[in-house]
Amino acid sequence: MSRTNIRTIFLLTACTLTLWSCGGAGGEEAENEDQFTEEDASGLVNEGEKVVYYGTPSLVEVASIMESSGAEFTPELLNDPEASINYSTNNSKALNLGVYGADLAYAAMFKHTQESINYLKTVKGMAEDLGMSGAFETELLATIETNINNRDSLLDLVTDFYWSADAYLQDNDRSNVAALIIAGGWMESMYLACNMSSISPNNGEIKTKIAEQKLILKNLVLFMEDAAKGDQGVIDMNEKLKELQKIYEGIEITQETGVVETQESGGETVIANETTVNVNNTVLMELCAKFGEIRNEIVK
Amino acid sequence: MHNLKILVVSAGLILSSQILFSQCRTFAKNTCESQLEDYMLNGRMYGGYMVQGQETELFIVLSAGQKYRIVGCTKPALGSVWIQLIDGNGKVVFDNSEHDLVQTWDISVKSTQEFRLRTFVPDAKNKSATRIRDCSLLLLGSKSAS
Repeated sequence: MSRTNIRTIFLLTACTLTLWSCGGAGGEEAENEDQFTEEDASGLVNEGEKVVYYGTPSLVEVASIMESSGAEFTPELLNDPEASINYSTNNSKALNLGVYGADLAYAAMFKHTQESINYLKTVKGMAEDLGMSGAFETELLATIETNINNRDSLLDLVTDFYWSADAYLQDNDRSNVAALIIAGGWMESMYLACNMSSISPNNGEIKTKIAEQKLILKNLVLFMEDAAKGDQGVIDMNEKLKELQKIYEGIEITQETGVVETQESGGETVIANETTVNVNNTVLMELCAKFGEIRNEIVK
Repeated sequence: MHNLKILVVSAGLILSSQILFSQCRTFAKNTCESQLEDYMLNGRMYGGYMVQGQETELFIVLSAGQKYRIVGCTKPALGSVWIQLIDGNGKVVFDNSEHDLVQTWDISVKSTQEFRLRTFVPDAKNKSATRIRDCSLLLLGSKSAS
């Protein structure tokens, strides 16, 4: 093969890889368009180039934070599993798969077995609807069903379920769907937290946790920007997140470095840092109204 | 015929890229995830098919009341990754080079704050040699501190 041919092949390959990884403008039904994702970037970057990731909220971690802040389980707040048949577009299915995932994590965290089973079935059905049946090993679902009474095992398996879904979507160049699932899940978690806060107005811990989500939101917006790459559904959702960010500007968070203690035996570091969160009730009410508005738009 | 060759080579390279991503996920599942023990994976894995000398940066929020486990997991050909945890004020609060490049470490915070997790895949000892590419991942797990 001549040098010219080799050069042509490399140029064409580079162009093809670029087109393949960057994708184009998308619309409501453009879920299959290619995306240049965080994970994709890791495989295609030039040597020496830094890869930046933005941590996304974990459904189980948010549910755990709410549970430890003394919140109570209120099943009426959750999205009705029966409503899953109403979601006809891929974008609404993806957002609501996140919503139901948050409901599943919440029900499992508070050891509500029957609700967990109902939400598990809904999540499974919606994942199949989104063409993700290949994401889950049959054994995983069977294991979830047999561990339904063991909270820690169940939460572990729920985490595994969503990890498999995310990995499957990344592998199939559908990171826009993954982004909508993550955003929908966080929105439902915050909707639940706000309602728990209004049910227990004297629980300052929940209010602080809602206020602290300002930091999570910052990373989520940047993550969505990266994942969007022209997909209108992700861009629209991110605009809503930015509206929340504007309201969050009314909450002041000051972070100070504290004493760092590493155990002599090794293996663990405790960071005694100081964070001051100025929880303004008026801003909190405005935030919760916005969370409710966006969440209700998603589940309608 | 010439165009066909180009198409075949291009398709082969695209396919191999996708296979490499999948391989890293399988590696994460089979080799790395167990190092989290009773910590629950925070939804995603970070990293993938990396080259020697590669740097990654993960922006995270660590919450009070939770314990976290950081796991660096690379294929043996790449060696152990250098991990640094940096707080919102730019102070390095953990550096695994001070602990023999240990790849698993637990962190807890007294109050919720933003952090950056930086990782560096060790560079090739022989700078003139072709750099090795393989799977290098960072996993973050959490559990309730109570």
